[in-house]
Amino acid sequence: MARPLSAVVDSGSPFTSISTRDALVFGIPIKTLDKELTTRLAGFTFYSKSVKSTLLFRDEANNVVKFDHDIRILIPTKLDRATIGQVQDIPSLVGTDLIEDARLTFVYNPSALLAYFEQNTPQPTPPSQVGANASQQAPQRNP
Amino acid sequence: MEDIADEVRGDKMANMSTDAEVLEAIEKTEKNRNWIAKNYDKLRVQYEGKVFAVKDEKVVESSDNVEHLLEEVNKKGEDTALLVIESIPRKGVAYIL
Repeated sequence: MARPLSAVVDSGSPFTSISTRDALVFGIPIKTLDKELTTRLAGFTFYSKSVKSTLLFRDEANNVVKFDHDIRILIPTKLDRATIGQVQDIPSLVGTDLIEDARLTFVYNPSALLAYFEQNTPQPTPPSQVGANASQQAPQRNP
Repeated sequence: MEDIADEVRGDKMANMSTDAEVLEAIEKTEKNRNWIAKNYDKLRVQYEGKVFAVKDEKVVESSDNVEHLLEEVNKKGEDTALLVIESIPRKGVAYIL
């Protein structure tokens, strides 16, 4: 299944997660999922379930860039309507796990209204450094 | 870890597989999200504390609760894959994530 999702990039979150609201909108059966891990977010306690997924991003050249990544689905500890109503404002998150696993750099300049990901590309080792221990990787924009 | 795709209900974009289909879906969503951002102050007056569904730059349904919203949207025969579903917190509420 593939469908668009908006998420907040949260450098304070170790996990990339789908919010309860988005899980319900996607039709994910949160009431029957296994509850693997207890997670706290925005003052609420959730269970979470890890699932395999492929995340699709659009780059500035209008190409689709794909990352296979495990994401967590957030399940409220109580599944009654009142509790779901309390957590429905909490967004889905892109956490540091995806940023690290996909070798991305997150560029954020709020004063310039700029925020984007760059995909890190290993730089070829210059001939003069062959055999040395130097290994540097400079972030590059996607072509 | 398991693939739960089989458990999820099908919809128009459930089998979206080509890059063109993905880009089209992103573009449609982006248009509706830009409309929400542009009209946020007006939307806040009407939908503060609520969750609402936007299609083609128009609110098609709203509710206090996302489960009820989805029930109403399904009754109308709307495809949730084509909707942007958003909420506006109550005044005085801010989330630290």
